[in-house]
Amino acid sequence: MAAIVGAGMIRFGKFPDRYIEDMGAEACLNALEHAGMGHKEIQAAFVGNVGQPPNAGQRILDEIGLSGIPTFNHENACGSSSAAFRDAFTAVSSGLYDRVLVVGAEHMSRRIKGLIPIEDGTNIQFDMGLVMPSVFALMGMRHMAEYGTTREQFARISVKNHKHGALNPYAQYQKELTLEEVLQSPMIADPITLLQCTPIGDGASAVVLTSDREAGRYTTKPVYVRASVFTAGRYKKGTGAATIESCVRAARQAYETAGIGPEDLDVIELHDCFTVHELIATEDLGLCPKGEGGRLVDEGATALGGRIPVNPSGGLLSKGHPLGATGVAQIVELVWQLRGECGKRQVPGARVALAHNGGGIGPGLEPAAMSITILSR
Amino acid sequence: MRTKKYRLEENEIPIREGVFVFPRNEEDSPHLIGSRCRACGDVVFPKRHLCTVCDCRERMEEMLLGEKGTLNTYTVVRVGYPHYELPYVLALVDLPEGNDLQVLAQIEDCDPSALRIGMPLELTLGKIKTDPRTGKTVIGYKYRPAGA
Repeated sequence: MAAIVGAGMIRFGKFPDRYIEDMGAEACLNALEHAGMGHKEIQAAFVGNVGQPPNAGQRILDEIGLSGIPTFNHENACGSSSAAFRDAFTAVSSGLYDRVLVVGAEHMSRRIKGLIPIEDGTNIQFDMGLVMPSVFALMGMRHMAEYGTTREQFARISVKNHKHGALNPYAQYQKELTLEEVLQSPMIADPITLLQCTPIGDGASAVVLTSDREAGRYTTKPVYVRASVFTAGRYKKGTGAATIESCVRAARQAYETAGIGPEDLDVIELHDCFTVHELIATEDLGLCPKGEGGRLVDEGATALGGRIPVNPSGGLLSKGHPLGATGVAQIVELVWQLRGECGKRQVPGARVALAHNGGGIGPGLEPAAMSITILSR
Repeated sequence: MRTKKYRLEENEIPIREGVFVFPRNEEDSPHLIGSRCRACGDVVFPKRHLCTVCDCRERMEEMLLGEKGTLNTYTVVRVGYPHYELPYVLALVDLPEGNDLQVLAQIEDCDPSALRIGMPLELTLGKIKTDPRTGKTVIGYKYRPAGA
């Protein structure tokens, strides 16, 4: 087993004058400071990033005076730093290392405006004009037809997450939105409007992971990793377009490993790249029966103060989504939640948390990578 | 009368090699090129080397498919890359040749308000986009409401 003893990030946003190295370094320094650990105690680093030139991890670590340690760079689209976290967890659990850094970092705002360029040299679906919003639009339209889900229910997820984000000093957008504003923003791909899409942004996040026996040296509030499942989307998934089979499968495995069920969760960070993804994933994680994700958000169950708060950080929609930084940033938020350090957005008494992070698309409309992590005090 | 495309013109390029074939004559339709497992008979598109369902080790055999399908889900893409003609309708189409077999394609010749999930579709070939490097028209497979 392994435990997280420190977690840090920088505020997400558009920082055209910054670079992945200085953003990543700042997140690492925050995490080390939170852990009360010196940088020379770190034995290895696992770094998630999508779009920067090779060896981003080594360049980030060099900035904080940490060179010459094994550094593993991970690319798995939006799930890159969850992949890094998973390998760090495996390495620490196996006894290979006792103290490692897991880092996510991405700089997008100088390179990308609007849609992420995924067309050239990928799978043929993208050659056909499948852009990221349309993936979830297709699922959303099917969900509406099968279960009677409404455009308002999707939009309400954006309203909820922006309300949460307004309480988070690390969020890219700290401004509430009304349902009318979300619905009346420009249509991107039916039923998804602009304010139901995650923004382009820059940011970095980091956690310090130790073996169980070392955790007590650094903190009285270690956060234990109860399950770390990382899998891939499956061709011939057999569940239809309104269910994400890799999520169902990964969640089942994670619950089994942790010895809990969805009813035991206190707080969730979920990959709401588009509102449709959150609605479908709340069902696929087992928070409600299939087809009732719309009702779940209508009832306020997933809002702060509700039965099972989802995305208290503001999620990708409001906190932002610098691709490689996202997976670890979800874990950062959950570590802070489990330690009771989240201020106005704190879920009172949170003991068990789940992070859900998808990465890329294909085969079909399935996420290419799917990560579920369960943490507890 | 809908037009049928039999070959590429000079200013056209295929979206990829090895994914579709042109109709051979007036009675024929275009087809997608998929593969079928020699052991369990499962059908996939695009082609794969080995079966995605069973554990047989034989290479899959090529198979023509996709002439008819039904609409599983669709969306109208209103914001896209600049070399596409916006808006366009994108759909997931269920194909009858295999279990859980679907293809993602644009829908041609259709007012989006006339689309209904479950409606029958037929395969056609046409413009997907303009190639940003060469300026040529990229030809690929599309679907349209059947028999209209």
